[in-house]
Amino acid sequence: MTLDEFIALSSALTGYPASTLLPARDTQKVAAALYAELSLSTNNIPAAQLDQLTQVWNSISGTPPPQLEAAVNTNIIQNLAITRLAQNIIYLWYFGIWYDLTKNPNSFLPLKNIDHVVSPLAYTNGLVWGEMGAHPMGFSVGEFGYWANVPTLPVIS
Amino acid sequence: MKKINTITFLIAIGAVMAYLSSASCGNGNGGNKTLGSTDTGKVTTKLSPILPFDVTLPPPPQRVLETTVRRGFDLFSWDSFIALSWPTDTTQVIGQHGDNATVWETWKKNYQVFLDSGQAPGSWDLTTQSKEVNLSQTGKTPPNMTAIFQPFLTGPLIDQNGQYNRFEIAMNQEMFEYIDQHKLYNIQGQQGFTDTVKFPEGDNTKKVWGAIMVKASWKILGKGDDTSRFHKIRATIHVPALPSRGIKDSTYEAWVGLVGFHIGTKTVTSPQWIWSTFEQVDNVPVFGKLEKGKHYNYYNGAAGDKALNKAPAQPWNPAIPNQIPSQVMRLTPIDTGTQALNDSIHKMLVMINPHNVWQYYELVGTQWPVNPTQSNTGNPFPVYMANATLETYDQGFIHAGKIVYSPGVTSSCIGCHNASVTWGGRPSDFTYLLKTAKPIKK
Amino acid sequence: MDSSTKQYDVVIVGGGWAGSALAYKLASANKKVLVLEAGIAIDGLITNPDENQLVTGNRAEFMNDFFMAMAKTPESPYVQNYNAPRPSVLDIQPVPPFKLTQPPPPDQADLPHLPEPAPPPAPINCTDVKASIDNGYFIQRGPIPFGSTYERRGGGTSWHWLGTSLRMLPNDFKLKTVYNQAVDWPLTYQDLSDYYDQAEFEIGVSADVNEQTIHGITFSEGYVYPMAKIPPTILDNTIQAGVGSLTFDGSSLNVTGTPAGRNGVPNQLKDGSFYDNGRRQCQGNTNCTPICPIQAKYDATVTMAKALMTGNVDIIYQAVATNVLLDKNTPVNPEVVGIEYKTYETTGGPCTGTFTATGTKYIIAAHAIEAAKLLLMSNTQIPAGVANHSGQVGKNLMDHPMYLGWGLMPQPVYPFRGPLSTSGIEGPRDGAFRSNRASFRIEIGNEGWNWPGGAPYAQVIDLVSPMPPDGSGTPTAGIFGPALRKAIQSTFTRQFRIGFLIEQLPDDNCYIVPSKTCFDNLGVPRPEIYYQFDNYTMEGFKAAAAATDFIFNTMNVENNTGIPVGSGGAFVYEGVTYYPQGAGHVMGTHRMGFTNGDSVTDANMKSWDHDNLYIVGCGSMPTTATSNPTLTMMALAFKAADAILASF
Repeated sequence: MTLDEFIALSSALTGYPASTLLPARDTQKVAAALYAELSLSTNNIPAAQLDQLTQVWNSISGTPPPQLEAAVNTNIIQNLAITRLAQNIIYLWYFGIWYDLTKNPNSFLPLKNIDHVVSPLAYTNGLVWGEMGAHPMGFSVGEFGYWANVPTLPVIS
Repeated sequence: MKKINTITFLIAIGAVMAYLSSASCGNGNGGNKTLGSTDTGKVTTKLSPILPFDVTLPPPPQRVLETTVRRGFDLFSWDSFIALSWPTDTTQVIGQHGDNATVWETWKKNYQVFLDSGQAPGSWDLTTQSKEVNLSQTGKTPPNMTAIFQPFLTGPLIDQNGQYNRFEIAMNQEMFEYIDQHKLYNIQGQQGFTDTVKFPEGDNTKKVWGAIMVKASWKILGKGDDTSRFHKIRATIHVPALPSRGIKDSTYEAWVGLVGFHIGTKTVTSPQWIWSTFEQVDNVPVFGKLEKGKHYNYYNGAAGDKALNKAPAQPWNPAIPNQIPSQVMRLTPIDTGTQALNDSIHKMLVMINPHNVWQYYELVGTQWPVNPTQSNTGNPFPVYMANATLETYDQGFIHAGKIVYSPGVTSSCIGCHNASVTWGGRPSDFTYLLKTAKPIKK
Repeated sequence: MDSSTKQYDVVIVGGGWAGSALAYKLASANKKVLVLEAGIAIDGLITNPDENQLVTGNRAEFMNDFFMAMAKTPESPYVQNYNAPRPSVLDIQPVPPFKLTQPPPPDQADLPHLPEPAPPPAPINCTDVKASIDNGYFIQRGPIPFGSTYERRGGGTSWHWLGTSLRMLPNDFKLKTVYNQAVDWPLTYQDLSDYYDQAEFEIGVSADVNEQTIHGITFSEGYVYPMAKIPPTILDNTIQAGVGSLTFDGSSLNVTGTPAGRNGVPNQLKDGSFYDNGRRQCQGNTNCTPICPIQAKYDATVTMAKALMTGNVDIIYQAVATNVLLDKNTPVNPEVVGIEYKTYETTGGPCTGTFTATGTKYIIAAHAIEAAKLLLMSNTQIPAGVANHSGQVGKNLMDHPMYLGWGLMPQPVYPFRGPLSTSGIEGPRDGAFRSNRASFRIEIGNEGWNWPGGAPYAQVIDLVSPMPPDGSGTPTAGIFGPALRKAIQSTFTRQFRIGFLIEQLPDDNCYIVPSKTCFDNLGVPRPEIYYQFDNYTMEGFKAAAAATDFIFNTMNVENNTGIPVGSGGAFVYEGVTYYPQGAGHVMGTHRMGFTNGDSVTDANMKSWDHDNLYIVGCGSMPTTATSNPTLTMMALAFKAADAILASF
């Protein structure tokens, strides 16, 4: 999967525009760090799964935007052969975490697994926090007292 | 390899071209601009005594964050540094006689604005302001040595002779006037100020300068220092008391050499300010690139690296005998484009005078907000930045041979200054200076 | 690291909260102080340059470990040290082989009731020291596992304290006199009031005096907190609007700001000066526990730095006290003549030497569990251990076991913003009910379901990869894209939790002893802990659950209270299963008292048995009340400092 394919697929999976995931002026290089997880041998990503996900994505990526979401659902999310891999990409962007593909991400077990945080910047750029109008725990650029004010949640396009 | 050399070469050329074009943009009636022409007895240079108002960037299609945009900001930094370091004697050009007293040294120092009495400071008067140079700060602390708590964990920087570095802060007239007019020079004034603090912004279109604040790091010159490689001034050094060690409050005069220099400039394009930082070229080796046999101000090849970038043992007092010199390296190398620009500026300085002290100063980097409206910090780039003499212990840390940076902790000018507030608890527009104010004494 | 050539006025075991406070006060009065800290040094806080050659730590490294941790527990920034190990919340598991049954209804008294008689402890395999410590530093004998943790390094547990700085109530000092429960303290609120002022100044507490004069608390004339109250969150205001004017079981549910050791807007103090501790103002990183990235929250390194700056303190890190030596020539009430300590170079490496520190006075400020353990380990001269004529050392181990309730508000309250907690409900901390059941305070949490529910991760995963019915790892299809975003925006923004800090009474069945079979990497015994809840506390849990139901029903909250992520400490009471969480408040193990018959120290924390020994910390507290104990501990430390100085 190329970086461009990764970004486009990630955009469809996360619901964020590609320009947010890979900004034109990329100061923190989060996209590169997350993309590198796909080539990390210790992640044990079955090559066949990654290939299949890539091919399936390429076959539907041209779908006009209004129908793209449904196409992703049918061909990727409901396709249990590749769904976990696709969901892992969602977690990469929302948390900055790569989960061990062989276990359910919501379980601690088995204790020996390769769940890991990709990097501190991947964590601080996790999408889930801003989605709630908040910030990653441990990293805030807010001014004193901001918490008394109602935040503006990001627009969902 | 060849490709990279070509690009570096082109960038260097581009840098000089961009520099020439920016020099002519920003200066209404600036210094003599003729290329290479000489007048009898008069030294000429392309360098300028006129401060830039704001950054000048290439046209949008040519803007690439890490190269051409960085170049624009780095040029801004050098333009600023040169103009700030220009001689006060306007018949000279910078470094014409080797060293010179500088323009910024005529600015008001922080203790001349935020008086101990809390009273209004005297009006801006260049002739009196440069008279005293009182160096008492040894850390990111107010001049009062009893308040030792710093935003980051910092500690004194100790040179090879066991001497502590000293710091001082100064501001330009635009910044001073804003503080003066809004009565922000004492605690009560700040508490009563409920507007949003917003210092004046430099503006290329309106051709006005904005607020500029500078922080200088000085080394007491002594054994082993080649004094021809430093900008030097005579200063009054303050030693605070430490009763448990029999140390009394005292002052003495000494020659100090400039080793580090921060410039913060508020502009229209960069409401989170542009942050430029310079160092004397002999300060420290780059991590992983130690040059054996080379003399460094803050690194001793024979000492070993176990205490690398660690603060010294307590208590911290400059008069304690037998201090162990700090062992410091720069963890993040200077960007190659920035270094190429440094080299080209140095050549111009040498052309003025081979003994020009200003050739021994290099730009470490410039940090600016890439997307000013995106968030309070405006997406700063580069993400981290540190001066080895001013953020010595916050450069990041080494783990398994690699440099590790911690968001929110590792030094970032904008990241840290974003938290600055007034005595009223409100944002103070990226300066901690307001917090050094004292109350009005009744 | 050999201190034996230097004679000190005071030797302090422990470079954490109490140790730093004492070092500062004593050094400021020109006493020569030696601090022995078992754990690693913090950069910038060494007095011997050789320490820079050992393991040191700093905030940047701790933050990095935190960022990279999968489980962001209180311990996550602080790497384990096998030579000065500490417990972890991840290790809290039900303690075999005990099972808990509910106490019988009155007409079935012959049925077995809580707790069951103890069979011999189950063997725990500690032969692989590091692996065993990785499974849990404590040797938990139960029946309930002890749920709170602490740190062993410069700054101690203050690194991950929340910041709450509440004073105790006057009645808290008189539980026996007023409510006929447990014991009274050998001092009153008034005795401590000035020391509370000092502690709040040293920490830098942000609060509004007018809000804090509850349950009989009074302040010195014209008292002003160093900084103004931290602004409340939207959640705080929502709860106040919902239940603030109501009562539960006779207690007001009014929401008030919680005094906190985190920087707010400075005040002008009583003496006319303007407060400034030089640290940044809170930016709402929502991470107080486990670590504040910008030190807007106080930690003990602030005070230790001031202590070291006097020039009167030497601190030796990686120095684990192992034996308190008594004067052999005095058979009765011998004085302490030295502290033996072991040193090490790396956190997993061997012991590098044994040394003895000597001084005129000695202070043990090593945290409730480690202090008690040290005194009991020091048993070669007196079999019962040092300072233990009363037999109370290690006994009366108490926590504030916490009941958590969590749910969804009908409208967004925007969690994960601001400090972890800015307000609480303090009404339930005192009242006539204390004759019958434990009191509690209600802490309002600003971090959504993070603590009980692993939010936001677990809930996103539930939406994206729902757990299959068989609980296996097989893939399932969930939602994604814009649908996921909408779900987060509409649901997660309504998350909130409250936590009840429930009082515990001193109990002979709750104690720590040094293990005879399990040791750390230096060969020092690990703590073996016996712990349970009595009916008084379990009735408190029952009331907490009822209060949660009342508050949630009143506010139309969708109640999601269930089995929390940390469920290892579960117990059953009257047929209901509760899942207590440790609050990190470890108290009681070297308590103050009126006589040497039933307490370890007098009201100045001086040992009844050894005239030059002081034992200072939350272990000094005879009862827990409901306030987070740290502020009281610091006040006690300052009181002890005055007494120590007067004794010279």
